[in-house]
Amino acid sequence: MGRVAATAGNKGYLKRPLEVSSIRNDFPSLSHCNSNGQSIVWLDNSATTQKPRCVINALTDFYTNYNANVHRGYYEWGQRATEAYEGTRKRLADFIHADAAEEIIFTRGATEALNALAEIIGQRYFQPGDEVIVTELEHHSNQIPWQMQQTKRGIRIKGWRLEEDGRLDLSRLEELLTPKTKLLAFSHLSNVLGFIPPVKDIIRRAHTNGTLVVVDAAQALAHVAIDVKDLDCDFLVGSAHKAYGPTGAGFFYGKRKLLEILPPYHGGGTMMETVEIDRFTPAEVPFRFEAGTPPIADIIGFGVAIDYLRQFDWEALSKHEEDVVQYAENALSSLSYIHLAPCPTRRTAVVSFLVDGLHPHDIASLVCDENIALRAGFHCCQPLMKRLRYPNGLVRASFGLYNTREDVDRLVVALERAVEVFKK
Amino acid sequence: MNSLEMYRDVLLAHNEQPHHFYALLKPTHAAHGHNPLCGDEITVHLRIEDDRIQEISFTGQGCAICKASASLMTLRLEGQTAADAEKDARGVLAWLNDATATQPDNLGELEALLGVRKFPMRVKCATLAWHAFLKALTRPATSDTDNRNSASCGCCGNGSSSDNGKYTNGSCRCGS
Repeated sequence: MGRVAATAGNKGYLKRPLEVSSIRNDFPSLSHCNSNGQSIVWLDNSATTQKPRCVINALTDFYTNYNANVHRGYYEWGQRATEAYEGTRKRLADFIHADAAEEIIFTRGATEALNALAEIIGQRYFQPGDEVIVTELEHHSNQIPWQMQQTKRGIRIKGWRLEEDGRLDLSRLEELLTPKTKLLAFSHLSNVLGFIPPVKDIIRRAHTNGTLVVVDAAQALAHVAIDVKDLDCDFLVGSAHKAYGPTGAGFFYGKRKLLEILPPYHGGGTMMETVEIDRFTPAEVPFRFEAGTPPIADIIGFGVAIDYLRQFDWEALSKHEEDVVQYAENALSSLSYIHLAPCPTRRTAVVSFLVDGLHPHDIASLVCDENIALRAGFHCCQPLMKRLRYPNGLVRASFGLYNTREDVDRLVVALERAVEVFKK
Repeated sequence: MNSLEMYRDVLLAHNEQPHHFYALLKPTHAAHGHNPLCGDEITVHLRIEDDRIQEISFTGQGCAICKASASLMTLRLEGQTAADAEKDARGVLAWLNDATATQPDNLGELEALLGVRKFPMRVKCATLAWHAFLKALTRPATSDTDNRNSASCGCCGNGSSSDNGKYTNGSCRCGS
């Protein structure tokens, strides 16, 4: 559904064909080789993606040609900076199908976005005894900010248990929802399992209970077409650097009518309307939530990253990533010593696994020799690891639009070599 | 840099068949070390009599580097007086954490850990057991039942942040 909506919204544009070799040329870091002449195989895209030249250039361009603060200067650079910065807000609103640019609040990343939401929603809505539901799928950044509200406001966290096959069972949600459930926070795409929960169904069910919904789209943003209106989520967060943009920039989306009744987050410049020595009045949405000088260049770069993504037909992009992920899944599961982590749906962008008798850290270290970047460990998801019984964590290969079947082939060779080292 | 510099045969052998890899029946001291970032956990068990480490063993789980280092540690420290072993362990930790530190005397098989020092991200794997040992020296076995609560240092997860004030300000000399 979402995918179709995203492409339909872009009709009329001539899309750039999805040629991976030409895409790879856009990313200067991908041409780096080790001392053996092996180019980097970047399979840690869930941690952060590489950046296309246009994003890197946007940063340099800002600092070289019009470095100025936003919403302040009356000189030309200030105007240009403000236009470019606000341009990202419009692009982002368009990208996730928000009603208006004002529904996008810039932050320094998805983590800050979740912390801000926990704090301002908590301040406005949470009473002692209220409940917040989070799933066991969540990244720590979608757990700890809510846990911090427990001590601060006397609420209670209820965990939505993951099934053995990694599924989120809606009947468990039924059991968890009570009149006291103020909020449900969950991930659009698991950074460990590559699993996409039934996002719309979950939101609909929570809403019939009068429960607010926060969707963590940090992982999903670059891989899944997102339509906040279609999803009907109340809030959604994301970050630039997992979607080919710079680090230090992120956002949260909120329905306008909700944002308007939420208190400010940080105090400082921009977020206020009038200030007297002992009081202030908060600014309008969205500036109410954006105190101080933002990471201007990074947010401008975020906008360029979105343009970069949107020049491709989303369906073609998804198809390419699906193909590589499926190829990886088949290649890895054909090796007798590899066990894939469960994924109840088609895997999206992520394949996690264990190698018989080998600790994930040893695997990640050994494949480095072939210039392959994998991730090993808990991936900031300790409750998930505990539930699915991975006491040493997992090895994770996570994919982006520039990865190829050849990357997977090289991974397989490197894994075989790693296993050999330990057989000696 | 090739990670085979780290995975020396000696380490692979110790990982495959670790020495003293069991719990002591009647330890006089024990402590748990945990690296929350990767899940490695090692418990070091000691039987100290007449101020001497009569027996040392370890249990737990971890990567090859972590287990091999623990195994090498037990071979090295068993039989030393508690004071000598403590000094020795501190010397080894300093050497692992700091490429400019002096090499401990009679390195022996520990020389195999030389390669690990070139991989800062993995040094914490090699130091975990040694931190747990130092903590065990201060923990008579009976009081160790809830040691999980105090096991990590905050900066790297090694050792303990509360080793009787030896590591102040969350610094455990882990190098992170």
